[in-house]
Amino acid sequence: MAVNSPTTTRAASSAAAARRRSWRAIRGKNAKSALLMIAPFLVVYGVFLIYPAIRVFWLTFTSADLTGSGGAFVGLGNYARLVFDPLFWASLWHTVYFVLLTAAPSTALGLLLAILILRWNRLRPFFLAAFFLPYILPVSVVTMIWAWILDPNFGVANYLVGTSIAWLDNATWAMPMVAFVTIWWMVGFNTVLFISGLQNIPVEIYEAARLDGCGAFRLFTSITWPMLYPVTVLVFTLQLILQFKIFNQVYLLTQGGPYNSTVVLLQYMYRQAFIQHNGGYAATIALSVFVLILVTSFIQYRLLSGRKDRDA
Amino acid sequence: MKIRRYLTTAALFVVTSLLALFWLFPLYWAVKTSLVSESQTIARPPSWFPAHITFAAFRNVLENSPIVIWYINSIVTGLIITVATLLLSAMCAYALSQLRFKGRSILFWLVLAGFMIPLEANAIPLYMLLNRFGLVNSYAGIILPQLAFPAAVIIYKRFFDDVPQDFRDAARLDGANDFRILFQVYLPINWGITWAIAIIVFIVAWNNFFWPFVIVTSTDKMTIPVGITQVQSAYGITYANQMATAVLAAVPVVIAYLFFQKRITEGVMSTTALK
Amino acid sequence: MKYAIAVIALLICSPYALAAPEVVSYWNFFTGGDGVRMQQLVQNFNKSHDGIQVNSTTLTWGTPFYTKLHSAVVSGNAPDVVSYHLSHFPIGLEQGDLRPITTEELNKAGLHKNQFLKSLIDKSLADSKAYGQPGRLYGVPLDTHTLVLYYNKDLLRKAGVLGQSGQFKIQGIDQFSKMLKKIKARTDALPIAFASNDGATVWRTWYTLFKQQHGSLEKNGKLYLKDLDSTGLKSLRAIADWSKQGYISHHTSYPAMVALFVSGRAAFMINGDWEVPTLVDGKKKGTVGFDYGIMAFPQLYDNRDTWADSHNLAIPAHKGQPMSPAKLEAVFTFIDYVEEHAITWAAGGHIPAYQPVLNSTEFKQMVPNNEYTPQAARDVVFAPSLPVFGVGSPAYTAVDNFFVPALAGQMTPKAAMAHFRKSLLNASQH
Repeated sequence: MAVNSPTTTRAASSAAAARRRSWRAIRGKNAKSALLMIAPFLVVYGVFLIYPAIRVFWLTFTSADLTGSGGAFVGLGNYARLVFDPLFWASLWHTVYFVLLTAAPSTALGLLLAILILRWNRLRPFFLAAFFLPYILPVSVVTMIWAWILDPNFGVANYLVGTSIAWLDNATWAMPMVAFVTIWWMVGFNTVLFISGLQNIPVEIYEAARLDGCGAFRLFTSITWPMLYPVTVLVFTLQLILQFKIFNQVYLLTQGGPYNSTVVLLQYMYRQAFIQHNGGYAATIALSVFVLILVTSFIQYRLLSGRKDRDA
Repeated sequence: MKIRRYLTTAALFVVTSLLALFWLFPLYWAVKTSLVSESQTIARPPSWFPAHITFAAFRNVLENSPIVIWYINSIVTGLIITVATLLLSAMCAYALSQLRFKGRSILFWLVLAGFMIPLEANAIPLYMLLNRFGLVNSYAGIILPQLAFPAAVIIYKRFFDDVPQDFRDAARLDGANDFRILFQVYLPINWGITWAIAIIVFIVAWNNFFWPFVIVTSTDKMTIPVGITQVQSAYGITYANQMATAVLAAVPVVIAYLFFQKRITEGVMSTTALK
Repeated sequence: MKYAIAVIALLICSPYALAAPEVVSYWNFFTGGDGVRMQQLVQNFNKSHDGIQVNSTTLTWGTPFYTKLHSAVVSGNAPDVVSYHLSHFPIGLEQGDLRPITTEELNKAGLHKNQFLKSLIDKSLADSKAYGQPGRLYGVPLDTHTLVLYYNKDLLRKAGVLGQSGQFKIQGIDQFSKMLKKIKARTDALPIAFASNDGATVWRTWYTLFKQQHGSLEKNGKLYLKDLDSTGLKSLRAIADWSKQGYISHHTSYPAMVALFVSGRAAFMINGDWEVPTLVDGKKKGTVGFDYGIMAFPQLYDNRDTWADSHNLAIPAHKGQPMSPAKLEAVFTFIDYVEEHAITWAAGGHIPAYQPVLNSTEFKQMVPNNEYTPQAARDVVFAPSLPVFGVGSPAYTAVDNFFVPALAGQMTPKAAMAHFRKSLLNASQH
């Protein structure tokens, strides 16, 4: 076993060659162009997406710094530290809290706006533009604008509401406001997806149901909602995955304050990696984000495939 | 009955309009603030319309900040990312859709799995990797990790799947190889979706904050979204200047939106192919 | 083809290609009034030096600046020269972010250690001894900057606080608080514009009050926390009490603080001397519509100690690829130029570290610096030489996290102090 005799090696290689030959004979032309066409994507994909994902996992067992050097093997040390790190649990909760405040509400609001917009014919492009425009703005433009509107001393928000609340510096208000700004920014995306879903429902079904004497509410519950289910699941899970990755708005609006009450997972990862230079520990936090997204994707898969089973 | 329907319509119109105004107000307020003098920005009560319009803030931002360099950086990286992503994804999607080869389904699942890997969570090993190749703080460092865009592959594949088999067979008989078939048959047929994907990829790249923020260390390599947050003047009162910066950073995408409104909407809708 | 030739010809003939100046990249964090003065210095330098082109880059002050710098050093993209806080040396040296400067290099540039304020050099060398190579400087001090009290004479007059000659005195915290009460009652203005949301401002003010009561955070080169519960808490309570009485602005960011004072809505502003140019220029342009004055931070307790820090010009570490001698020479030429022209920098509000400028009549007669500099220069006290403290340090984060909420009434000063103490302890152990 330990030493390959020349004969076995030769035998093995000739067997492999034979296999290659037969494979080439069957799929020759296809395989060659397929390889050429896939290779560029595969290289980029492998080097910049798959490899780093595996490396994250490996880093969690080391005490590497930002350069990846000096990474002694520390076994499960980072995991032990994670379990007893109150700021990790706090940032996990803040992330979940943010997702709760954004994913479902922005899905529901997206649907509502889509239904409202579709009622109008000539004004439709205007209304759609109004709700969609914020989505195409860079996040830092969005946060700059809202930081100014919500400024406690000179902002127009306090003037309009007649308060003097420090919206982004108050532990009660900060996260809901970040969520609110996020919904304002992103809901247009959901609206467009719902509009596309709603337009795909054949008008005849509604007409038939209306002839049967169905009211608006019945129409919604027995036609719109079931027909829209796949789009809804898509929008909702896209939102979930997107919002679990929250970093930008928090970093730009509250920096995680006041007193760490809005620190989220990726921001904690950023701090540990790029400010404290604990690459290994930061990778462990990153892994928790992976797990969250993995679980969400699994739920998405179940929701969609479960639905198909029922249809069948 | 007729009156009731009329009233419902009127009520719904009011609701929709109010919501639309609410959505547009922050944008209006930013533009308004950018057009008045700094002392006007903090006046109480605030004036709802700019009384004396001045472009001083815009002039100041354009003259005293590297915003023009950031524009160039954003445009260059955005365009390269868009073109490269389209090429890579179209080729890969074509192979997945039209060619039969070993490992095809594994590759497909691998691409699907890529959805679950967020660039953000990969930031640490990516930084280490690019650092080893000396690509921190470079265009390549900004661009390369943004090229792996599995959604584009999957959307393309959906659309290539729908192209009738006869097209490929006919081209095949003419002696065309797969590259020619892709670029002369499949892409032209799917010009619409290519546009849609291109616009989406460009917007995503243009708006990406996290990655350029992590990988760029000096102001001359920053893109628009990063630059405007990293270099802020705190000289005296600066609200008009800040809003002028925000408006300047927003103008290109807003113009692009007004031009390509339909394409952009289609692009977003193409995302439904992911379900 | 014709175009290509034209372009090549242009490239060859352009003065850029002919002179090929040594390009020096310079990073700083001067975004306030002092930033304008630094810009001026760089421009003048470039105009007067044909062979050198300094490209200056301004990044966000504090943690973002030092984070970017560290990651630039690590990735081999470090700039050639940077502005650096004296208080950040312990962290920076521990991380190996800076390149030591030899005495020979300094002398060759025409500078000598003894030309700089001794207190600054001593502190710097103590840091080198503890965290870097002993006896080496890691930065050339540019200034001392300190906390001062800005006041609006018009509002003080209106409140009846000013004496007949336009003078007023602050004697102790109780008398000062009474004055604030008077201002609040007699005018519709805010007594003090204060960046209550800005950890840096809160730290400077708290540290000043703490030091004025003989508080200490360092003993024998080690973190010392005993005074926090007594004078530390007392100092925090004093500021929290001002907040509760409405004497200082609530939930105010740094830019909002400046806006409040500059627009004439506050009688005082507790801020660093770097906002001096904002007022000087504002008065010139007519955007500051009131008479202002600036004084050294008053004695509110037992002594006059006042928080201070120092900007240095430092050279980042270039691991693996040391700077070329030509580049190094260019960097030192720039450093020397800035020191020799520190009078321009002094117009940014700061106190020059370079004694030939510090002792010049031009500086001594500079308005309004002469209102506060003579006293302020004597009162300076620096942050403890520990990596827990300084700009961009865990202490700043802890102030942000606990003192800021205490001022906002979201946490009792006692709880805030307990958290602060624990954070410092944790940070010093990691």
